[in-house]
Amino acid sequence: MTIPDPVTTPELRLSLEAPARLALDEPLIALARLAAAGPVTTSSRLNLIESDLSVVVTGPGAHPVRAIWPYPVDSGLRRVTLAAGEVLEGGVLLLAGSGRKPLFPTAGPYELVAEFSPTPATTVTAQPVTVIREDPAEAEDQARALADPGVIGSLMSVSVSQPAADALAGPVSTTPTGRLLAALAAGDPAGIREAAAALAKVAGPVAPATTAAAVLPPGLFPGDERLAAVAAVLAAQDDDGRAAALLAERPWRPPAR
Amino acid sequence: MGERTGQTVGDGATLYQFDEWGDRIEAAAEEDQSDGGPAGPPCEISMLNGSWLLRLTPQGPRRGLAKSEVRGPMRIEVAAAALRVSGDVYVRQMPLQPHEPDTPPLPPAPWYPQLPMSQYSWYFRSTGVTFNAGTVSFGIDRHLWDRTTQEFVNTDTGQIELTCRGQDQDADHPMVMRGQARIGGQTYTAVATKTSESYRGCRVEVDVMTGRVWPQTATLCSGVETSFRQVYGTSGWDMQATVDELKVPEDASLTNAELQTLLATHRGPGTADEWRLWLLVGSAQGSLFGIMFDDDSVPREGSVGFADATLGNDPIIEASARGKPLDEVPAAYLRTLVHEAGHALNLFHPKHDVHNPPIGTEIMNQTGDVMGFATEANPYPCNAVFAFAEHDRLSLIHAPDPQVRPGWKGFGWGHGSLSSGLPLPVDADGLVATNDAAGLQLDLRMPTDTFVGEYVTAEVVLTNVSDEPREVTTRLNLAEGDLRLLHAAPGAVINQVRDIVVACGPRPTTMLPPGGSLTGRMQIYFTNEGITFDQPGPHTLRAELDVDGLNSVRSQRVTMHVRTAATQAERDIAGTTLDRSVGMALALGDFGQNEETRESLAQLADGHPGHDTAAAGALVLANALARPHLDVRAGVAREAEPDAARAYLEQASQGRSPEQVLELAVTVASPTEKDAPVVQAALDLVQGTAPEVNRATEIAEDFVAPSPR
Repeated sequence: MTIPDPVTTPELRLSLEAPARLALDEPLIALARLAAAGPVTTSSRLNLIESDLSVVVTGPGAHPVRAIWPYPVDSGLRRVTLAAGEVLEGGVLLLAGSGRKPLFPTAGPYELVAEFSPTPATTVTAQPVTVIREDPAEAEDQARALADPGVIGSLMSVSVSQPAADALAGPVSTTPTGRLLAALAAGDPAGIREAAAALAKVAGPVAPATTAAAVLPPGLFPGDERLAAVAAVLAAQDDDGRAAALLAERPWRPPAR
Repeated sequence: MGERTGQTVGDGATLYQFDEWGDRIEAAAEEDQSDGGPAGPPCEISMLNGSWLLRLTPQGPRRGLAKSEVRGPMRIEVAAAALRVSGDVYVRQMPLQPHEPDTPPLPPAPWYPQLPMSQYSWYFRSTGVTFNAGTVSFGIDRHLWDRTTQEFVNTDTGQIELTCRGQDQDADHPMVMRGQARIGGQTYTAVATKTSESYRGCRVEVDVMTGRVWPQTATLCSGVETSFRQVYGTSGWDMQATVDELKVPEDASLTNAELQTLLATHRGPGTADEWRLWLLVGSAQGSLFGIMFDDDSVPREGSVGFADATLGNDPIIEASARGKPLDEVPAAYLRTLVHEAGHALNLFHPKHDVHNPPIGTEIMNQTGDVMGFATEANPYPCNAVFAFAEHDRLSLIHAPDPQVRPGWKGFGWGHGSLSSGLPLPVDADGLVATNDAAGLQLDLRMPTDTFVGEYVTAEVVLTNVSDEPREVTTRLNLAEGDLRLLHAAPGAVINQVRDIVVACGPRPTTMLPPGGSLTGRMQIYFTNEGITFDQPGPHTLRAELDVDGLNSVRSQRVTMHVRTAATQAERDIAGTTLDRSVGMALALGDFGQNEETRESLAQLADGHPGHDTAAAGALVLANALARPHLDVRAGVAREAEPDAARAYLEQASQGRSPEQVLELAVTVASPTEKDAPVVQAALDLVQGTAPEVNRATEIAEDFVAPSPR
């Protein structure tokens, strides 16, 4: 496959935010942002699960791989109208592609290019971003757990397959992001609240909101108690309403600089 | 390829030609000028359309002691102005018998040749077809399957010609075509027996959750009634959907883990080779309409449509469907169920298919995208096309069995290139002319963690798990050809790992009693790949053993996690062992005339004697110095240094049990040198020193000639 060229429309611009460096024992959560220059109606399915969004990942010396959710789904149309200056944001879990194959098998620089279809007939493409995946210093068990197909399947399907239960409770939960993903899979509201609070403490309220939205797109899982648990924890810290917008698949207007 | 129009196929007396895409070459059509071939009126071209069982029998004298049974499904698609042929060939080896057993009768049509995955050998598709006076002739591109890697690895070409005559056909017998095939330089007698007017078939078991409704039929906005089977029928698939259970216990929200459990507990039994799919009429997962959730080790066997998901209230939704749960809108629900079953047949959403088919309103477009094309004048589901797009239709008919068959390759496989280059001709047996051995088990045992530069050994154990004694090879090593190791480095293609020395000779065998095992031990640090584990990351390995020339057995996959050297000791070791000449010495058990390598091995042995890699280095020195060495080409001799050899052997044995010493010694000795001094010397050293000596003796005996235990 080839890496898509950047494409923008007059009304919409897509961008992907990801950490510049991240150890391999941490699940990579990126943030996709769709920014409107003028009033525009677009698909609001800004997530990998429903496949309006996809990310092409190119690793060191490797062919580009499209990050596709391992479980193909069918869902209905959801649209949102963005006013000029508004953005729609969505979470993106970059862990594995089809066949549950890890997207980041080794340490090194990876280029990520996001693509989104605002309508079935149009596509916008983001500028590439580079993430350097680093060998974990003393956390090989955690990195290995994230490459386990059972763990990948559990985190991406937000449900625990029994063979992966120990790894989810153990090595996967040693990082704040992994802990929240594991708690969302386990579905225990108290555990989710604790994990969301822990992640918010080190990375701010947007991080847990992005993580939760990556595996439970709010428009696809309206009223899900796991999303509600995350939202409840973040409410007090979410001064600009950005986390709440992420957790509701709702437009958000960034503050003027 | 888009919609085709053109001349309807005619009778058998007309010459038709079709290009590599199966499309009619108009200018080439002309009247039959042939001599007519065998007696009897030629068949009409339209009679070729459908599923066939193709059987190939070699012409000329048989080679070897076994007979290959070469057969498989062939699909001939005869459309308006198009003719395409594809097929999947399965091969098994049969011992030659004095009297050929009677061939069992074929089932009555319609049926579909569905054969054991373990016998899969190659896939072919036509590169151009002519049909003249009842004879269909076509070149093929053949894609050869590697049973161990479960991938297509090579391509070549061939030619098949089959003749269909009226006298071969009658109402009580299936239609038969006869002819020959030229494959890999060999000529085969080819017989094709028609099995169905459809191309492929699959049994679909439908289980329904309490209170939900399976759309047995759906009336479309046009007034036409359709069904699950009819939609698949438009692509030539015979999908026999049967409702098996109507009271799957209520569960308002289904996670993937729960769906996987339902698949395991509610699906009825099936035969081993039958193509089958489990379809659940379920409740909900968020607001999803459906999901193909089955992505475990036997993937794509289960899909679900969510009956409780509701259609929106948007004006682009047909008025009577707005706000309704899916199972109250049969057309919409049927579309989703057909769509999810399509994923189980490895069809992609068009927007992510690497072949870039157009996005539209056919089945494999997501409902959301189909809704995106809807208008108030032509609302959903009225605007949906209840058929597969051409790209998906061709994939359903002509894609290889491993791609399509539920339970075989994972979702997404096959949406790239099949070919990896043109190989030398291979005959119709394909690449692996052996059956999967029943009653034998192969275990690959090796460390799961290592660092780049560490000496790595593996143990391969063959066990007879049947009730009968089995005659098996004793060549459980990587040098003599019966055992091979498949190795996938991180992010890389699979390579075949062998020893750096390759030996030839007759296959020694032993009778393995029920419950008995044979064990082989080997170093895999340095192989034909060089340093085998030179990249950090997860490496996957699998062993395959040719047991007796007819049967093969494969081990489980083992993942080895390779990291970079971390401690100072590990860095020191890696600094020595990553030298190619040192790696070769570790593989050969000798440093030859290379004094620099000898010095490196000595530094390795002396530097970190507690580490097994250092002990391996000491044992190489012990092996090499125990005997003289002559470089014939250079005319240089190396004298034996028995005292030094013994000193290195004693150094390697320090702090190690007799069993550990022998385990290392048999791996540094080359498998082709059954009299390698280090094995006997190590055994002599440990004799009588500990109760574990019996085990050490067994290890030494297994090195010379593995015997059942």
